[in-house]
Amino acid sequence: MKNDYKENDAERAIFRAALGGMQIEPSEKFWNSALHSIIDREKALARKSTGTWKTVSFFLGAGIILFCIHDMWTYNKMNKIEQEVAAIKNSEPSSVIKENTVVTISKSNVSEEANSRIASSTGNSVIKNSNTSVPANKAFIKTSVGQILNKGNQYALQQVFASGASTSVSNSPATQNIPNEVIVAGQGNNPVTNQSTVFVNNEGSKVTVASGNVSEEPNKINTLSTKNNSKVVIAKQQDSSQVSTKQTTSDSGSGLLAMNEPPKPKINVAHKFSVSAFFAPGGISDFLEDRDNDNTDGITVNSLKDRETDLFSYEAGIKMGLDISNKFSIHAGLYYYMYTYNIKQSIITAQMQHDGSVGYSIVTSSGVVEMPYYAAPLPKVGDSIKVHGNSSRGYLGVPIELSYNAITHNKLGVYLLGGFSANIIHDAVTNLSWQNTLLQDGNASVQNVQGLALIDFSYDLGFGVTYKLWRGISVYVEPYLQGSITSISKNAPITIYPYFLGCAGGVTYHF
Amino acid sequence: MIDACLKGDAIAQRQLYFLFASKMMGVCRRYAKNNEEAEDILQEGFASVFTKLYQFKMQGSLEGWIRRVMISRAIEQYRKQAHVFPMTDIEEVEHKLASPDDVLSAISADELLHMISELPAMHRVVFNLYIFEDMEHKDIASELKIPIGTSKSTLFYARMMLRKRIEQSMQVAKKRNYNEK
Repeated sequence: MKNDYKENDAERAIFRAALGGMQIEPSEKFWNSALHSIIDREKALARKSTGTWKTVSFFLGAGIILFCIHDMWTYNKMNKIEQEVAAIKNSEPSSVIKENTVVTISKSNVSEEANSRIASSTGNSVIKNSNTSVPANKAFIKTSVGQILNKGNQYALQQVFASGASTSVSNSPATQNIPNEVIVAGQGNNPVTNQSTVFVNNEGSKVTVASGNVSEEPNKINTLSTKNNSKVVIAKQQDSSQVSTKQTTSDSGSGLLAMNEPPKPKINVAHKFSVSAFFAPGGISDFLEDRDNDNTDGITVNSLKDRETDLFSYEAGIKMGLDISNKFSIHAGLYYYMYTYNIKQSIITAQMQHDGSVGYSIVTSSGVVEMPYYAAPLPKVGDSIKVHGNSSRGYLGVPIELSYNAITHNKLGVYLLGGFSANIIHDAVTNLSWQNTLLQDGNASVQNVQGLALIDFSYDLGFGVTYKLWRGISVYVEPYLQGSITSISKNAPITIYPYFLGCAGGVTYHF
Repeated sequence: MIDACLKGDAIAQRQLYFLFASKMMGVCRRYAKNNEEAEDILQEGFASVFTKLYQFKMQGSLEGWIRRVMISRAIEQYRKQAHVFPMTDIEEVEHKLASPDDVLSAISADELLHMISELPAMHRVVFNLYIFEDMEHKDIASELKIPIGTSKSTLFYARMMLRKRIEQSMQVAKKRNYNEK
């Protein structure tokens, strides 16, 4: 049978001659379908690209947040461990306070029980209980005989009741800038005897001598304000034998005794600089207005909105910051913005261009783009072609921003942000693929947009969460909105005000 | 253009698509029952081309490589279809065929294409592979995962069916010419 075929292969000759080099033009429907298929493919690729960036951004942001949470948890845990270690170190058995002995008080002694009370009424006993009448987190120390010394410890005294003829309180913890409040009050019929109640208090602390209990000897109570805005109310006469302080003359009035000039507190530096770098992926859209309300010019607000969608946009840059107070900072820097739009398949018609020739132009979100067209025959006014592609604009932005630190808690901070930016056009590219009714096609990359404003201005509003890492380095996440105040196109039939919604992730170094 | 396609440049892919679409449509049409089926194969074929283009080693003709991809897609399409082997009474078929020149002068390419289209799917595929792709029966059998004997018999039936159709068309053409004279 095979031999028969080989010898008499008439079919091979006939069919190969007739159909061997056959070319068949696919149907119009098929071409459209194919075109859509490719456009869909382009969209899918664009979506994939955008999706990839969004995914990366999402996981980056999530990673930063998780890292911050972990770091904060670790920080708190370490802090607690340090406190516990300090408590162990300082937790000398305080079951007995002997008369006229020196007892070193640290908060850790009583912090285990928030409302604990250490009292020595007769000088030879300590009572430790939970007295709910004492505000939480305030060590309650009471003594009538003996000396309370808080010197060199990490914690300041929170609340002290001292009474009796031979009591003294010395409060000068190692950490000078911990504000505390020491209340000195007599107990019932046993008022404070000022001659023997002496305070050496750290700067920034507040000492209140209950007036009712000391009114019996008003001439011996004076109010003294020390320098550097500390709030100290102290007895006039001190027993220098029990307090290692030096009396100096106060500048706050005659007849008042001053404490020795307290050590300079550790006050946060008022002005701090910072430098930040950030990357902000996001989406671009436009607020559009029909400039002339002319629906016959081939473009309307809705048609432009339908034609264009955000492809991938981002902003990135560096900025310098200056803390002008504890709450406010100003920032300025240099940003680069890249906004990219996808242009869906559209039909555009030939018309007179700005140089007097007839050609194809398309209104995009960047403005009017006149497209090169190399095909025969030359277009006449009214001819149409299909186009699709993308357009992008790059800007150099110079922003000035003001931020307000709304919340600060441990390492975390939340701030509000607002500002303005001058945006200078850096590049504008429109890539178009066209196909005419003769199924001729081509591509055009246009790097010129008619009437595109050289500079436009925008506002930005946002808020951010910052997290301190170490040595002045912090990271932040900052969702924000940036909107144009001025139109970016001078002669497009549509007035275009772009706005960008993004989420910046960045690093800041404070110095 | 191939490099651009490999990088995923959609514009280059579009150019490649339009460059070879007509030629490949001709190939697909021979394997298909009708134009719609051919366009489906073409569409699927180009999807494969774009995803497998990295396999093209830059040796030989790109057109030939795309053609092989299209044929693979056509064979896959054939595998999806139900294969009913119609038993045609070939006893009635004359085994001698007029000379190719006579046939070609009497019957148009479209008619011949139509005749191939009317063949059962398996016959159409085997006939195409044998006649147009110069494949041996062992290769056809391997490609279609059928016994060699089945490939041979299928080709035999395909030939007989086509001869019958050609002779019928020749007779019609003769009558038409006679009436015109």
